[in-house]
Amino acid sequence: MDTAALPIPPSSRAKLFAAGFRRLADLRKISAVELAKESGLSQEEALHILRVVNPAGDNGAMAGAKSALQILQIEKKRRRITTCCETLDEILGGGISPQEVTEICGVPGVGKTQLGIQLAISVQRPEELGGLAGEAVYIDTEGSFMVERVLEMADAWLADVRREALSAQEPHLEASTSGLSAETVLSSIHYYRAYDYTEQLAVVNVLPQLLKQHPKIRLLIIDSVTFHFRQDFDDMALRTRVLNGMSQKLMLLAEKHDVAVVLVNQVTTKVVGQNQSKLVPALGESWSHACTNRVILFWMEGQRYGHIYKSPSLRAGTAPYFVTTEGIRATPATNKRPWQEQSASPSDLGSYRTEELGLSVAT
Amino acid sequence: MGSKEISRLNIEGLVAHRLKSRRLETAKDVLCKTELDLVELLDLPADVVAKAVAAISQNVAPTRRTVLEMYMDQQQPGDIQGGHLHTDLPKLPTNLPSLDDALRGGVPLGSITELVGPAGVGKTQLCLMLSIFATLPTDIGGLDGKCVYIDTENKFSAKRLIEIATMRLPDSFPDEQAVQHLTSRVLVLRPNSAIDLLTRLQKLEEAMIREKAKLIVLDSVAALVRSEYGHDQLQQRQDLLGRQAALLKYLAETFRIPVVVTNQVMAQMGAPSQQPNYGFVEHERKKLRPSPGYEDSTYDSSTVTAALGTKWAHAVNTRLVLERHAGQRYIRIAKSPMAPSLAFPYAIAAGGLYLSSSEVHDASAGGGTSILNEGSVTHSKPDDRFLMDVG
Amino acid sequence: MGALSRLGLPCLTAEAVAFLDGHGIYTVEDFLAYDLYRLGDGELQKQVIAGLLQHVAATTNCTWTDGATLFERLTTSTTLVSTGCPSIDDVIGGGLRPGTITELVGTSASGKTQLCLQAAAAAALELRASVAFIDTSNSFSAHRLAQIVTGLHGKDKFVEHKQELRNVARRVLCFKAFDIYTALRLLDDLLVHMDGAESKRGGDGNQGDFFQKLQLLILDSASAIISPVLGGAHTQGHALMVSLSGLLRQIALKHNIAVLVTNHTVSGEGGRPKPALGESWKSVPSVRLALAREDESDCCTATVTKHTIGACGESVPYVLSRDGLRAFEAEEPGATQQLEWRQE
Repeated sequence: MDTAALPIPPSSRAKLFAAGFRRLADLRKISAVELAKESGLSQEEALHILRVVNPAGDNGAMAGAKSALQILQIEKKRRRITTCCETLDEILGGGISPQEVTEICGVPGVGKTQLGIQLAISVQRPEELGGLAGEAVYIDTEGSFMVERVLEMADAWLADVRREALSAQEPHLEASTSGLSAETVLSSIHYYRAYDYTEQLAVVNVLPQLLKQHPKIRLLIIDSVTFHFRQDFDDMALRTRVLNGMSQKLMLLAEKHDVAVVLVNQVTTKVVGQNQSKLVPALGESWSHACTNRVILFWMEGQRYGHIYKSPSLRAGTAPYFVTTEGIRATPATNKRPWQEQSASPSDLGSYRTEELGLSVAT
Repeated sequence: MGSKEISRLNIEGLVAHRLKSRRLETAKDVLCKTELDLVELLDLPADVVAKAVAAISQNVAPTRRTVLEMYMDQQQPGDIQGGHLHTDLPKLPTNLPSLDDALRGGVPLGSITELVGPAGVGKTQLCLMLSIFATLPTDIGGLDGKCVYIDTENKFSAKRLIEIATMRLPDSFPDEQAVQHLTSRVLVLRPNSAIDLLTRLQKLEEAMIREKAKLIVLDSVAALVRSEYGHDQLQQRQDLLGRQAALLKYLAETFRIPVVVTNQVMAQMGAPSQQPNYGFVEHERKKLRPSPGYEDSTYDSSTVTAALGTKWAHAVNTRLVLERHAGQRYIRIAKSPMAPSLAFPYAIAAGGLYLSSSEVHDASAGGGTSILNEGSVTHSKPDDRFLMDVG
Repeated sequence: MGALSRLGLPCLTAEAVAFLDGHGIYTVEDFLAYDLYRLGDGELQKQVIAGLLQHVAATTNCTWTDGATLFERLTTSTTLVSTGCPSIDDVIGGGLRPGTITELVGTSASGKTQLCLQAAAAAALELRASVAFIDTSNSFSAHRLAQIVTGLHGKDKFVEHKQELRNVARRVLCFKAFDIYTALRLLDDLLVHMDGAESKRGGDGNQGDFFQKLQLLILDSASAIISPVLGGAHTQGHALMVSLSGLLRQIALKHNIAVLVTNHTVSGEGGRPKPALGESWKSVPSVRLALAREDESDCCTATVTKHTIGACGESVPYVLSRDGLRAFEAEEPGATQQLEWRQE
């Protein structure tokens, strides 16, 4: 490797170069004092360069490597974050996976934020019930996060978890849920509100520290990653670089701290040909490579669907889901609200179904 | 926050000096650069740069709160009984009973609620009603505050405001004095251009603190931008709307108040549209039935959609659609984080909007779908062409 | 090469070094670039020049070969590394060629990572080779790898399936690198290890064994780590890219390893996708295979857009199936069923 590719200041690089240190091998067996003498760098600078070349405690190439066998064993043990909707879980292979970056995109009102909130709650599922017993970070850039909705979904989720633990008729399962309450659920969601993209970038930069302080965090949601980047950003090339840099940072976080990263994305209208346009995920072509998995939520015939658009490990699949009072579910709401008229369209898939906000309709 | 100057951020020594000499003056300047850019620009080792970036980020990043803390802040002090959390947070009621039930009490605080509908359907009437309710004392469901009414179409009528107030709530407005008190608490702004509107919104923060306003009404969000920006300036228009949305959200959340905006509808031309093209399953394309009794000839194309496009629609938290079918007016919940999609028939009388019956329509059942949400179709109208994402 | 003073050659006396310094010659490269006649022809100079040239010849291994030998080597001794998909192997001339870099470029969800996993599976299963997989975007899935191995495996009818799977999985090493510096360091270390393994001939246990049998290096994706450093008001990003490509090429050539890299796309003129790494990267791969997914269908096409020794422009349709990439055969009734594979 060339010394030119070292992450060192340009001036140091130039001095190294002039003194003939062009290959990394040239720097392997030299002391800082020698290097300083030969290159005209200060001793501090020389020491810094040597640290970059031979970091302490680095075992070289083999340090971070795992064989596919080891990874397979880890993957098998890995628990996923359930969406609380069996049909979605099925196409997701059991839920959202830690250590991966998953993007959720869809039209306004299809339930992106709802799904985000649901995940922030269900990541707290007790370990005894096959959950992660984790905490969540929610970075809200749109102001669409509703505390009372969280509470409503948390109450429903608690009831479900308790029922499940009870029906297993094993005391230790019941005990596992006894520590849970609406308060614990709410206090296990860490919330950031970013009002512009500078704040958004800053939050991403402070996450490593937060994850160190709160090692139980298993889920990180940015809702949405798009909003601020769709305005005030004239330099598209810069935007691409900033976004790509951010996504690489998030991937590192996901891997290093064993968290699932969920990015919510908007859709945008793209013109194709004459007088024709289609809805595509926002932020452009280059961003579409930034996420490991991409899930698209859409409407078809008045029904919400989730679709796995890309994933290295999952097959493409489509599954219906419902947004109910309780949260994201595979079946329409069971307990109707008092004001809901029982007569309302029994043949329908459900009275909680919102009409087509979505993608179908209108030719 | 992004414009926070580095000089205020406790960054010292060489880094601060270099940043200054390279004209990187605000946090935004620094955070928009990649680490490599900074190493190159500042001629400093990568770890020094990383530390400085971390310090700046720490300073600029919003504070972290748990949702429980947020809940406690939003709850009225006396409301947490016996340690049990309950889900109903304060709202601004519309005083349309079934609608309020569906919305869990009314128009939510801290977010944007949009009223969409064709001209003359009653959007402004509903805005006037909400302005009145916001000024009422809290014990009868009001917010006990002033209302900032931003009128871009010159449709605000004080006379109508008083009429609605006295007809609807004779008990609260028994005499001239009460009415006067009301009118003094509704502050009307009339911006004359979209840029003017934006500047006023930027300055509204101070007025909000000074006047203790509890509601912002923007009637309408579409009028100015749609008249001022032609099809050739869509990018600028979208930028402006985006900034407007961000400001409205900021005001709503900072002061925990409802923001109500109205939006026009636009006709969709009948060009064939497609399913969004995600490359999966062949969808059966559904034709939207022309609604037979649809009165307004302006919208005879039978498909109308909320104006301003998808980007704006993403910014709206709750969307209520006001529309007419076969002579009957309906108010329909089209997007809400809380409520299912329901439609309620209503009529307009001297006292404003009244629900016609206790009838509730499941809006998903058909009938009430003539105003589409923006995301519903692929538009042929150039009105919605914007933002080609450049990679 | 390096600084002259550190070479420790007998001809480089203090006097000689001082002399060369005076001519601005600090490294072997400087020496080679210098007009040697301008050094003069004294005894010292002659000694120095002769000594250095000898050193250069000894260290660079430059030997002459003729076309016939090269051709013979090409046709007989080279084992091509299969991608695991015969029809794609066909269009790129039989498989991934050791000593060269093959690039996959395609839109998102066109199957780049899938093909990488499949090539890894095929190399580890069929050639019993070791594979280094450098994952820059968290897309390596061992589960999926195992699935593909099982798919390839079924055809070969191994009895001891589980054991075989374990062996295959053991041969694939995954490295994570989320920025270009980590990737560069990793490649550099790999190179050092491979040099070591070569000289020791199976010296230090497993590790040495891994490097000796290494036949395929995958970098998925190259563009994810390069594109954040490109652009900006400096040329350092470009220098990093050049370093990366240099290292890849060095690994490929020196140890006769097939290198597979992926490159994503960005929207170019008129919204049509174009490779994220553009003109200056174009010369790096010897073979470039463009993957494209048709809108609203599951059928994709792979097209050879660059091939230094084979034909360009050939394309082949394929589908992403449970067992990995498969040639697309429209008339085959099982084709649609293949798509219906499920997570186990």
